[in-house]
Amino acid sequence: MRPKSMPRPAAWILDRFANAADGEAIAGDIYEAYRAERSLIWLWRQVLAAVVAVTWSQVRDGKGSASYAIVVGWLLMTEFAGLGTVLAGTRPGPWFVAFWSWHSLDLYLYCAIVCLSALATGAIVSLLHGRSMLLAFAATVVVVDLWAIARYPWGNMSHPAFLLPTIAAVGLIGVPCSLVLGGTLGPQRMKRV
Amino acid sequence: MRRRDYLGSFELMVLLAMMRLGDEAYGVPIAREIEESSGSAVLVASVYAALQRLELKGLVVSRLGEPTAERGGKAKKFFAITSTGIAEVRRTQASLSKLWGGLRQLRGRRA
Repeated sequence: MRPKSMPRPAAWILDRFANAADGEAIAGDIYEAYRAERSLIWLWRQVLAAVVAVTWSQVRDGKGSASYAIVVGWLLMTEFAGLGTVLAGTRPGPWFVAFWSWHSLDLYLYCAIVCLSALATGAIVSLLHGRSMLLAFAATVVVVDLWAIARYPWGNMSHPAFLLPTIAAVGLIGVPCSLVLGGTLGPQRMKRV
Repeated sequence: MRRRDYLGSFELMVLLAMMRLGDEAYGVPIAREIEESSGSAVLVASVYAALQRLELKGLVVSRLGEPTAERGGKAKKFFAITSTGIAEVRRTQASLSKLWGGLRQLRGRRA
């Protein structure tokens, strides 16, 4: 039987996000075990755990750099999003918390601007601090998204049927995805720490 | 009494698996050895996290191997237990044996 080859997305994620500390050895071990005998579910569990473990180890070893990346990331994101809304002629406003009084077009425009801002922020944070720190920053964005959604219940919104999927998609999927995409498309300063 | 860092149960399992494997211990066989003995799935990343802690405590040492094609061009990282590591395993075995000895609840049961 021909040995299985590693799925490209899994190899890509390991190369991009688990390439520091013991990342190379971990990726090689996952690759070897998967080719020999393991299932696809096993592979993806291992890949995600490797990314979390390598990110955590980098953050633990560089707490100062992680804090700096998070602060810089939030400042950039807020600035980009604020500037974007001013340029687009929509209302400037804080992040995901003031959507419900908006018209639907404003909302979609704002969501697109926030996602583009996230793309640029991801590239800059990745360039300045490395991809592990970018993932740490993306994790804080997810936490804030969850907090914002829990803090402002759907019942308060003028168009709940319209807003709920939009906010959920932008907040929990669009922004972290844009951040990570920006980080992978953009250059990276530190490959190994 | 002198304070010392106790081995976690997973760290102890990793050290025991390494002792079984000898000089050729690296992530895949260590994880397999633990899976076979415990019957539950093991994350390769958790094995490396434990090995990193053990290396910091001076209980294991590591060296990099050569990259190979079957590993997607990635190098192996081999680990070996140090004499301090073996002494720590012995100490843990002695203290656990003392604690296990004569426990009514465990009498007459075999795993």
